[in-house]
Amino acid sequence: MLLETAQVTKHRIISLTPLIDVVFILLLFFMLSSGFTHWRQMNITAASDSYNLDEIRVQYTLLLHPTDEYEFNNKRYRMGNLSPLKQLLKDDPRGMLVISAAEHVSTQQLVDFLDNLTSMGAQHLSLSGLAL
Amino acid sequence: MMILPTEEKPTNHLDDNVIPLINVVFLMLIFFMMAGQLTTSEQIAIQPPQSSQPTPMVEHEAVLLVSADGRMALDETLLEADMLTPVLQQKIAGHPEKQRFTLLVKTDAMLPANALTDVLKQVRAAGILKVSLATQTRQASHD
Repeated sequence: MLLETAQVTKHRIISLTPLIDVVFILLLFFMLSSGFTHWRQMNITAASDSYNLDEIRVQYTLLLHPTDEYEFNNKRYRMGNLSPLKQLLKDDPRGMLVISAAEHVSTQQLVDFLDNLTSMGAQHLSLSGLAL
Repeated sequence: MMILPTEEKPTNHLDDNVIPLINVVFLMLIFFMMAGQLTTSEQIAIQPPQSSQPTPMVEHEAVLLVSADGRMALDETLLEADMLTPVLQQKIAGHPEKQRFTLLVKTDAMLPANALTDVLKQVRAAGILKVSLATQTRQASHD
């Protein structure tokens, strides 16, 4: 006579090694292919496309120097000192600021200056003849 | 009272010491998956200028890379500086709406500003009206 014995539960041992392998490969993939640069863009639109040039009467030339200074009306000012330009735009809101760069001025310095002018409220900017 | 030795359970402790490792690796994996953006490697390595411009980057019809030493690549194809205008003209010739053709210029932060202006003039000469300069979010200085 066969006796029905209690079934012995057999625990299946799952090895974690393949899981770790896969996770490591995924980690390597994402580490190597991911970028953390938060891209932004600065629009440089043609003058005819961005605003009516008839609205602009006077162009004021600013020369950017590599020493973090800009030249306006034959006077040099520190890049952070925008009070002369603020006064200028207060007197002539339709004036265009034409920015040209001296030798050895980097793109970063130019972008910094453009950022300062934009935050100051300058709307009519031109990069040596290229409207921004 | 005599304490008898208890019988040890035959449990598997082999993987127990790797569980913290798996936890850390999983967390790193989640971090890279969530925080990073999948990017393709570019023909020319550039470090873009930092800016406080809030405008997020959008898709453009063409991307022009300009390295600090003036090397250029248009849509992953290296090209000479004097070939930029004709190549761009060819590119916009096949575009249905030339006025809406947008170009993204990715330059290195150390590129001389005059070189950038020259590039933009060439782009303008090709008839492209909508140009954007790629920047990256300004990192807070800890000085």
